[in-house]
Amino acid sequence: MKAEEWIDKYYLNELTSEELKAFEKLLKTDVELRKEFEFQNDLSLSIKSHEKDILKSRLQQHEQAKEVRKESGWKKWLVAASILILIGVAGITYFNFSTPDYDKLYAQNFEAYPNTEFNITRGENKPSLEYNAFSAYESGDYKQAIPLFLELKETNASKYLDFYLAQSYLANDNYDKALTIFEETIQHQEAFVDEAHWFAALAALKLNTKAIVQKHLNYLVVNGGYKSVQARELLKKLD
Amino acid sequence: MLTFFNTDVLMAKHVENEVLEKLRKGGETAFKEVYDENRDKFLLYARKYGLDDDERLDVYQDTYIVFYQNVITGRLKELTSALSTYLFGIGKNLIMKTLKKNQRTVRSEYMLSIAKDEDVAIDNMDWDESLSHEQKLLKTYFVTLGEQCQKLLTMFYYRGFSIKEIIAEGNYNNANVVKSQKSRCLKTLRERILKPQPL
Repeated sequence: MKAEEWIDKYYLNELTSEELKAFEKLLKTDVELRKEFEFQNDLSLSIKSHEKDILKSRLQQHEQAKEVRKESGWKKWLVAASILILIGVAGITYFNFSTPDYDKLYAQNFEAYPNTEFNITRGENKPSLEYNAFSAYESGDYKQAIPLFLELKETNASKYLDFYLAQSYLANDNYDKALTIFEETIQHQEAFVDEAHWFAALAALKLNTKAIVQKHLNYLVVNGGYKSVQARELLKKLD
Repeated sequence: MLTFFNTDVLMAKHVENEVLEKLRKGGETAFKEVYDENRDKFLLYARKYGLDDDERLDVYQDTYIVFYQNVITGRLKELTSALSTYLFGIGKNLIMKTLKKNQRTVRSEYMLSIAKDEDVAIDNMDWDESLSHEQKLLKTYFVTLGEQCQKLLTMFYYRGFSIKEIIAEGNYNNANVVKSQKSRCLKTLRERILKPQPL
């Protein structure tokens, strides 16, 4: 067996117990094999650590969501007031030193993506669902745009619709949904992939999931194209 | 009586292993439910070690993550004790680590009680935060790979999937496609680390 085969079989749990013993023996004598195995082992540990970060932020979000649901009535107001005071005090005391303010970073960076897909010339277009959807979008009426894009998607398979639908959700403060659709757009690898990474990072910023923000920004930085400069800036501010 | 008792235990075990199966499939509901079910019990339990509120919640989350990762990676396939016993077994170790890290003295009676009921074998806890330099680099560049590569490498190196499961989950044609795709992903990852673009 070649080195690669041994290691593949090891990770796929395909080695018999005898082969496993032989593999362990080989690892001691074959330097190349050992180096390759150590590399892949390091990778497996780094993936585990990456997944752990994601799980941690999922649990923290879950706790936050429960907290919000639990607080009701006067208690809610009391908590809100004390948080406001805390933010005020912290803001004054630690201005510039505090952990990054995700909301602020979002506000500084978010700007709805322009309509580049459907050319709207007032008075000249025939009214159509697509016209209505993009016209609502262009005029900033994102609430109106959402159901129109959803309806349009049923008959129109253009990949860019998802991107604009997600944009509308994002502009409408529905970050969760926006993030899901942006990530789908990225997976399809068809239209607006780079842009979707950028906006997914912004949505994740609002959801306080640092690992996800970093994931998308890292992509843009390495990619070196769309928003790579802004992505690098934003990454710096996250730390 | 004895038979009834045994049936009950068997039933409970059966139910808990079903829960494990749901967790393994990655369902969000199960992930949150099992977390919530054991949360308050654990926080109450951790109180006697003198951890403050934030620490207790932090330790519980870390405990749950170790447990969950053991399930999702296929390391924990079947429960031989109750799920909560297993979870608390991990928790005890992490509480001790937290106390040690904070250099707090541990009252001997607690140490004793831990030594006594260490009935859950927690193999390789590997909750050691310190990644080596190479591992940190790999972690940084892993997320720059395309979604497909990330997904494939995660199935291969993290989920402990068999080749059949990878083919099904990733819609691949056959094992050869999986393996050559994986080689390409590793190659890209190596190249990015060797010729880093500014991050």
